[in-house]
Amino acid sequence: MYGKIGQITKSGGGILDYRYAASGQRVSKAFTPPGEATKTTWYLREPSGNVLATISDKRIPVYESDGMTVAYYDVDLLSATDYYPFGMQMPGRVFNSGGYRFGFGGYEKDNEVSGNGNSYTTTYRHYDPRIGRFKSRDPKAGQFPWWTPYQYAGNRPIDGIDLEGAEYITYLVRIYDGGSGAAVIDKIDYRDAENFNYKAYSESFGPEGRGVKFIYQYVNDAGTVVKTREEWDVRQEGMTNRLGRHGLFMGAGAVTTVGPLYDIIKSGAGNTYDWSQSPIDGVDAAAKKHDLAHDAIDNYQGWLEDSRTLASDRELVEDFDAYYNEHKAPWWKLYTTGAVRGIDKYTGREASDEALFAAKSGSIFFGMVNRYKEWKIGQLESMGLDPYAAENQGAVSIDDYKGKWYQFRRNAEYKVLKSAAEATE
Amino acid sequence: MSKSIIVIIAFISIWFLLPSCKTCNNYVVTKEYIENSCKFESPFYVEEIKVDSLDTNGIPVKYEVTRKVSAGLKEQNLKPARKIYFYENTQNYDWLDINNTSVHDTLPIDMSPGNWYLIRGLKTDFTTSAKKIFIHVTDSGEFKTYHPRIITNW
Repeated sequence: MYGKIGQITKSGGGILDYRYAASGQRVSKAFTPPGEATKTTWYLREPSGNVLATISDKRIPVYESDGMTVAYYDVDLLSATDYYPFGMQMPGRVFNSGGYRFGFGGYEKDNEVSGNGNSYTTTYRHYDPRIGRFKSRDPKAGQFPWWTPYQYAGNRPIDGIDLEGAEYITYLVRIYDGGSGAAVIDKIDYRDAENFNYKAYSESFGPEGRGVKFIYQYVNDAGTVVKTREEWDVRQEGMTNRLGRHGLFMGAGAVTTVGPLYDIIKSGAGNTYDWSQSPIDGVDAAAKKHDLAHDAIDNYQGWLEDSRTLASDRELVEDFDAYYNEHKAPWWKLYTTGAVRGIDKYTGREASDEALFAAKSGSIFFGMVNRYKEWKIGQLESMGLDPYAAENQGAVSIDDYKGKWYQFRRNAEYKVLKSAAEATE
Repeated sequence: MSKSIIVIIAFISIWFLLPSCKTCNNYVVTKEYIENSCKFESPFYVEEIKVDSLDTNGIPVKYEVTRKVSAGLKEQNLKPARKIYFYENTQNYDWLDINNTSVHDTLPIDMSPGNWYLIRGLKTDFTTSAKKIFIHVTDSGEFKTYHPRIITNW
């Protein structure tokens, strides 16, 4: 689920374009060799992520009996596989026209180990689908004492997939050809569950803190690394940043593809958010859903001033409140009587302090945002303007929301929202 | 008092205090330097741009980047500064011309009259690299800066 990027420009020419579903699984790969037409491969999956078939974008005509008229087009099937629940390929129900290496759970096959389709490599371990077990211990085994450390997906292969975790990451990105090409060449992610207090934090993080670090290597024409620079994306440091940000999606902006430099490579064109990244926990997942809804709005006018975001903002408050209420535990009991919080389905652990704080504070903050947007919509309507038209969003702004001194709540909300808006401008 | 009420009071109190706190959102750009109340720990980028169109506030909307350089710490463990000079050495910093992958002591772009430039990748308290500042050196040599509104989600 990690390290996926939208595009790779190869130094020798050619562009690879990848598309992913919101869950992070690859939907298509398009390769455009220099001076040639694009060849696209589509991945057909079942909900748990297993690749059932791959097809190309080539259309195979099937003719009428006259041999001239095309009746319909058939797909160009590259591979097709049916699986038993734990991933073993069904004998006689496997077809691969050549070279497709991925299968059950989206993992890469290691056919040299135990024969075709009998061993998969995942980020950390090898998996044998014939026995439904990994071949080495789970690095997060300490969190799941009720399972064998060799289990797959909690022994529930039908409704579960083995989450590879969601933690903070360091990417090594190489910049080629005067900035025109970039490729992720390595990544390190920190998921050593034994080295952090999971009641405080949703996810483990590396020695340098919370966020996603990008190390850029600039390579000249001779192939020499001339300069190395380090940058962070969605870093959670300092009082205000920790207050306003959580995980990869909650806070102004979201994790970007190839990091801060992406915007430079692309010269600001298009969306830079990396929706293929998994959220770090349930709160981050709610934020990701919310951000995706914002991202789908044409001519988007920003998180505060675009009235068309009200529905998704309301949903976010509901999601945050639901998370908080479903996972909280009385804090005085937590450390005295051994009470436990609800299990976060993304981390498989009790909800953390930071997740509960983020849910509560996010609910409060977007409660203010929503009251402002409801007011703004009313104002636009009273002016005879369509409150949901992009071009009308500038007719009323947060500055118009400032209340009189005795309107304590509105004045307070104005101050908070204005401050947050200015920080992102 | 329940934990949720403590969280609510703490959250609102901190937000009220925010405007009075020192923030990292205010950048000053002159023809000699760029300055911020927080230190430049991460690289930022200066681009030479060819502007096709402006909005009603005179801020470039459509433009083409013709050259790009980055300023950053020579080594990550060196002491960062609050002020980076364009055409004088800034201790511990260097400039990388991304177009030809060469390293310089000062900004290798000459900001000349009649041209536009863009500084981007600037950090604020809430965003990693969203802030950008346009610079226009007018035909008469006047140095003007524009701080566009950045559209971001939350």
